[in-house]
Amino acid sequence: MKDWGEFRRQPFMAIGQILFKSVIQLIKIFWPLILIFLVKAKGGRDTIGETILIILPVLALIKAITDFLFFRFRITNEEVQVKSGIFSRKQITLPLHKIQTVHINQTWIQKIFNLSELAFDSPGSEKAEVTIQLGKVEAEEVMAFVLRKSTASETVENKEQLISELSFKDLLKLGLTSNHFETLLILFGLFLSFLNNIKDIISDYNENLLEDSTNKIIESSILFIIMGVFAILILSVLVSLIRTTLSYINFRITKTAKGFSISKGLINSSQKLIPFEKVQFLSWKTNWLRKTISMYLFEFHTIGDKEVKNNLKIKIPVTSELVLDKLAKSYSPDIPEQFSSNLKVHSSFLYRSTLFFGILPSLVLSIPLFMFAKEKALLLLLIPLYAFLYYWLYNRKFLFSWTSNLININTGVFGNRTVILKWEKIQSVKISQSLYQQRKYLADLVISTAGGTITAPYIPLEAARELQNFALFKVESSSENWQ
Amino acid sequence: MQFLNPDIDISTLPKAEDSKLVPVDERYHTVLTYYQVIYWIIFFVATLVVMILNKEFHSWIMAGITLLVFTVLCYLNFRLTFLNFKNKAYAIREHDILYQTGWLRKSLHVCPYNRIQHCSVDAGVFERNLGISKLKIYNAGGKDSDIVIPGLTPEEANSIRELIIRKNQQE
Repeated sequence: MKDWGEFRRQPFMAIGQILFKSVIQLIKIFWPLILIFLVKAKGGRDTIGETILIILPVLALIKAITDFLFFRFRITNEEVQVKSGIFSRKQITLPLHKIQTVHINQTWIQKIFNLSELAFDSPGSEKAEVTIQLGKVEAEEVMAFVLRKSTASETVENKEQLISELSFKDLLKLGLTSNHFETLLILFGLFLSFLNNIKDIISDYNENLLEDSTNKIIESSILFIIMGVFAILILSVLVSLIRTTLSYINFRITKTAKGFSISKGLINSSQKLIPFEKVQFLSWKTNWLRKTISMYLFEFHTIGDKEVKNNLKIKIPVTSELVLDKLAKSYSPDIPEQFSSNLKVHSSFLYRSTLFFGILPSLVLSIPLFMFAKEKALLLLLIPLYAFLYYWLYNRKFLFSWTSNLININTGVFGNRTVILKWEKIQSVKISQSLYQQRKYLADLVISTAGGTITAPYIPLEAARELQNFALFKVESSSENWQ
Repeated sequence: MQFLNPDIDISTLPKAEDSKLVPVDERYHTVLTYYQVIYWIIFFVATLVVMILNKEFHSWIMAGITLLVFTVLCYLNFRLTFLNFKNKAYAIREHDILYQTGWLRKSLHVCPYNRIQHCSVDAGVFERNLGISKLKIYNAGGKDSDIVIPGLTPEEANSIRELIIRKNQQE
């Protein structure tokens, strides 16, 4: 392997990727302005506009060159060091033993320049703390070196064992059964942000566009509303399908001596390695449709997971129970079929949650809505009904069960989610009670781990106390390391 | 080596709820009262400005109602803060530290020493003047999992901090 101990720049081709990033950044900021100039240019020459359109690419080029020149890195036996910036000099030192996971990502633009992006995560950072552009082979070499140093000093034979791959059929299944409601919300968010941006550049923009369209929808016939909803649903399904395909194409997970290695992506490819001991707890979820075809979305919750951005989370689509079993057994080899002790949520959770999140909000909203929409405000009755259905399903599905080694939580509303946690991975335990819960001898048990928090709401106080004491006993008496 | 895996009788485990909790120092209530007085003075001045500028408030009835609402809210806030303060207590055990807080939502938070990442002793302006400090205990569980014990004398806070560091190294 090359010597990385001296400070060095990234490969020269990295300038292309940095330039591309700068251009995208500038376009994101100035796109309404660019659009104005393009629209106005039809009418006549606009010298200021033209000048700005020339200055912007020059600025991007200067920024790319300076970023490239002033970014230096080195990798020693103990740490990764990065120096960057001209005016405000920044130096990041990341000790190798603190590194949680290493990813290799490759966007389509990096593919053109034959580069890969090496990203290191450490606990507590919201996004990958250090990213370095390198040639693909070099990136893999550095990744192996860093992982060797970060997890253990002894060398173990690094034999890869394929756990699962996704076929085109699996991808299709995954896309069609994904959460279309989530996609719908993303589309809605994008639409609103587009409207917000465009109102600055259109001179005759109707300020009340949203309000007018809402009124028109309220006035229109039921058939029109149903057709509209149907069209939106089809669009959501299509977009979900494209999203899933793009994120999980070429998906492959293998087991190595150090941990799991995951690679995926066509346009933007990524490769991650998760050391076994960094995993805090496991979870997998499915919905009724996915369950019928034995499809699950599995997740390793590692240290600092709740601060990590969604795209850095380690989610694995699983297409058979056999694979699910293999992944779960890597965390704990003795996961029983049935857990000996279990607890359910008290029924008062359903009534109180319906009251606070269904009935009260609809009462508050009903006053202004009755003034504007008259009898259509009766639709508000749907909120308490929905809240009741939501919490009824939650109550029915929630099961907190445990053995002397593991905690198992089954939860979910429209789908099912299973969590498996070792007692030793717990960081702290809290019993929390509202005034009502104090009267009824009920409590919420809040279990904090380095990978996220797990709550068992409205369980009997006595049981919560016993679980708290047992958790403390396990954590304080165990010699097993949590990280 | 023979591997043993005996049953554990949960009822014989040490009970966190039976620990003798030590209430935080009375001076911390004074600190909380100072903060509240400042907050309510600002709120009162803001309300007064709104009332002067808005002609609808230029009547005895409106002014009376506003003052009444203001007084009730102010009383409730002070009362709630007092009840919250009364419930703040902590306990130091052999292997962990306990902290109880809250009245509307009462909680008992326990953090084992072998999970603590680091801890610090801080004091705000009022706390410094009254001679108390707060102990902040951080673990890897994130913000919700950290414990902040206010109303300790600097000596108490520092000795607990040193105890935690010592225990952390031992375990």
